[in-house]
Amino acid sequence: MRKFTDGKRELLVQASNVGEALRKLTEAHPELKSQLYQDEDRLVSYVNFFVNDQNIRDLDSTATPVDDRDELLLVPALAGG
Amino acid sequence: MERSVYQWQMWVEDFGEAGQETLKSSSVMISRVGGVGSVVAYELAAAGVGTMVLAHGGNVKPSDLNRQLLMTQDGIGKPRIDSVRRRLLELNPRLNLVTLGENVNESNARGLVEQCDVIVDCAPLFSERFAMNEQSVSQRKPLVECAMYDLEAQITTIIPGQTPCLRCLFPETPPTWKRQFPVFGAVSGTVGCLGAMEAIKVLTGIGTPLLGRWLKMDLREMTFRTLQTKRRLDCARCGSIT
Repeated sequence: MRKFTDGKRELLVQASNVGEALRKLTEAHPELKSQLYQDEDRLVSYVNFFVNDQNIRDLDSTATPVDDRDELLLVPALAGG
Repeated sequence: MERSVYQWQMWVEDFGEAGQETLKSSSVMISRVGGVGSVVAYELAAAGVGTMVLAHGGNVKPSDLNRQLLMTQDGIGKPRIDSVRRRLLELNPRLNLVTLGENVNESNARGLVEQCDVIVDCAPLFSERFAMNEQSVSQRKPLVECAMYDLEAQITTIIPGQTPCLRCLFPETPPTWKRQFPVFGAVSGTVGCLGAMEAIKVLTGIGTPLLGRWLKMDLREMTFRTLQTKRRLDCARCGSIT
């Protein structure tokens, strides 16, 4: 993912939920968008998104609320063996 | 002699002689036996697992040698699985090896998994990983899922019906994944050692395996995070099993 974020491993955005955070992230780094979204609204299935240690799939998906203490973690599928 | 070899690990209190006997009577399947799998296999051979079922196709290439620790310079151009067999038996001649000189696919996965108690997935392609996941779920066999890229690695342990399966985590093959990837042997070896430890824990009941937990490691920054994972009720592979 870092090659789409100018090499940065951590980015700071202000948002009230996961969807807004991802939107601001992809506005700041447009090349990231195709890595995270399969169409305008739907996230790709081969990246897991966690708020802190919880998968947003087990929370409220992109509507999951976040505040300034939360970390959003993008975990892409790896298969190196 | 055999008792002497394992004496120091039998000092682990909740393992002991009973744990050693369990390992000796156990069978572990590992595929492939490359950067990650070679270290899993070597550690399990050292620990005294009785039987290993190993699948790995192709011949040794120079570019294998930075990480595939069971391959050697003098094996270049010869079948990888022959190097694997030779090196493991040099370490542990008591080991019973079942070897296949091809990679796991939908045709051979069932027969390979039938011969083991635990699977350790170390394959570089999602098609192979999904083939093992299919059989793990069908045959209700635990699957230790190890993967890496660059200086990052991930590991979790799957118990079908109890934890998420690989399809719960990744329902589809990522179109962006490429067969060739950046790798240091120290990174693949790190997750390989952890994979071997998970297999030992699952087989002998010691400790707490990574069930419903996904360990994500960034060795560039030396950060380690444990993420919680849950089964997908709509998982096409394991959603309907209990």
